[in-house]
Amino acid sequence: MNELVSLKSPISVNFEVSPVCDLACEFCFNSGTEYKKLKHPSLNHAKSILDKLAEAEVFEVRLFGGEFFVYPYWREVLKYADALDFFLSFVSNGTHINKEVVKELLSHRVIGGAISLHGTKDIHESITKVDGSFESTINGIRICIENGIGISILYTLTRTNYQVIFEVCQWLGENGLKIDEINVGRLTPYGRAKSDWEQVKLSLGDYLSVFPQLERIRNELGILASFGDAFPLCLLPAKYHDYVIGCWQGTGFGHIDHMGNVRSCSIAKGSYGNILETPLTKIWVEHLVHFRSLKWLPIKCQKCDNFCGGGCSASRYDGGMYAPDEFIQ
Amino acid sequence: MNTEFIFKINCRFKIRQDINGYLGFFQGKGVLTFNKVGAFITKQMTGEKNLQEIVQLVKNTFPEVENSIEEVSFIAKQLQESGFL
Repeated sequence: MNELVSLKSPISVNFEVSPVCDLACEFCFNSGTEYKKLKHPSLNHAKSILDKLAEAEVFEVRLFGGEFFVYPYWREVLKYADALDFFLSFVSNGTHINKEVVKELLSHRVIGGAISLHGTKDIHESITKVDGSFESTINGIRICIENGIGISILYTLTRTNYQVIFEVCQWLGENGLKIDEINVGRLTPYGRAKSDWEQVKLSLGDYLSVFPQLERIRNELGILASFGDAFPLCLLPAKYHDYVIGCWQGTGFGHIDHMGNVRSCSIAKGSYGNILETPLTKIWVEHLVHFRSLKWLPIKCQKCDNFCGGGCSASRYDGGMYAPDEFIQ
Repeated sequence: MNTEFIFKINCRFKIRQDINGYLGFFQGKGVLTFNKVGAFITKQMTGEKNLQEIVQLVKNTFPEVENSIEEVSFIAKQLQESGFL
C-alpha cells in the first residue's frame, strides 16, 4: 500500500502574511465576498509566525497572500525572514512590483518568485475585475526578469482561459518577456469559485486539452510549461505524465495562514493546528497521520504502482481538507 | 583525487536533522537526503576546506568510519553528479 513520508516539518511553506488583496479574482480560493473587509495582521504577529517556522527548521518561506506586497509591513517581514536565514520566495499578483520592490527583494536574497497571470489582457482583467491589472502585472514580471529574479507564471485554468495558454506564452515572448516557466493550476471549488461551481468547473476533457498546449509551449517556445498541481495520471496519456509536477502537500509542503493555522494545502480550508499555540513539528508529525495514511483514497489509488497522490485533494466539491480527485470514481 | 582540491557547493544550502536521517535544501536545485556522516561532509563543502582537511575532520568526528577518503570522495561524486558541485 502507498503511504506518504512523514517529515518533522515542511521543507517549504506558503506563508499567507496577510489575507488582504487588491484584486478580486473570480475563482480566488482564499476568500468569500467579504474580502475587502479583511484586515492586515500586525507586524509582531507576522514575526511570531516566522519565529515558529524557524524553530521548526522550515527551509523555504514563500511570502504569500492575499497579496504580500499590499501588506504595509512587507519590507519589515522580508528583512526579518531573511535574518532568520530562510530561503525566500514570493507569490504575487505582480501589480505592485517596481524597481524599488525588486531592489528590496534582491537585497534579501530573493532570486525567484511566482506571479499570477490568467490570460490575455481582456481575459485577465475579466478575471481580476480590475482594469489595468494586466499591464501592472506584466510590468511586474518584466522588472523582475530584467533584474535577475526568475519568474514562474501561475495560470489558474478557467473556462475562459484554458484554450489560450499557448497564445499568452507566445505574446510574452513577442513582448520580450523571457519567463522561466509557466505552471497551470486546477480550478478548485473553494472561495469565490464554490458558489457557482457547476457553471464554472472544467471537465476532464477540458483539462486533457491543456496538455497538448503545454507540449507546444515547451517545443515551440522553449518555456518549461507544466501542470503545476496534481492530476490523476491514470486519466492522462503516458506521454504527458512528465508534464505533471504534482503535489507534495502534507510531506514537504505546508501552508500557514495569516492567523498561524497550518494546512497541508493552500487551497483547501480547515486547520491541523495553530503554530502560535502548538509547535509546528508536533502538528506536522502528529496531526496529519490520517492524511498520510492515504486511507481516504480509493483502494485502487492506495495500491497503484504509478502513484500520483490520487490527483488533487482540493478538487472535489465539498471535499473538506482533503478528498480524492474530482475525476476519480 | 588531488588532496588540495577545494570543494564548494555551487548554491546556497542548508541541512537539517529530520525524523529519518538528514535533509538538505539546495536553493534552486532541490532536496537531498543524507545520513549523519554525509550531512557532516556536505556541510564542510563551503569553499574553505580542501579534501585533506575534510577527510581529517571526518576522521576526528567519526572515528568509526573506516575509510574517510573514500567516504568524502563518494559524497563529492554524488554531489557532482547531481550538479551541486
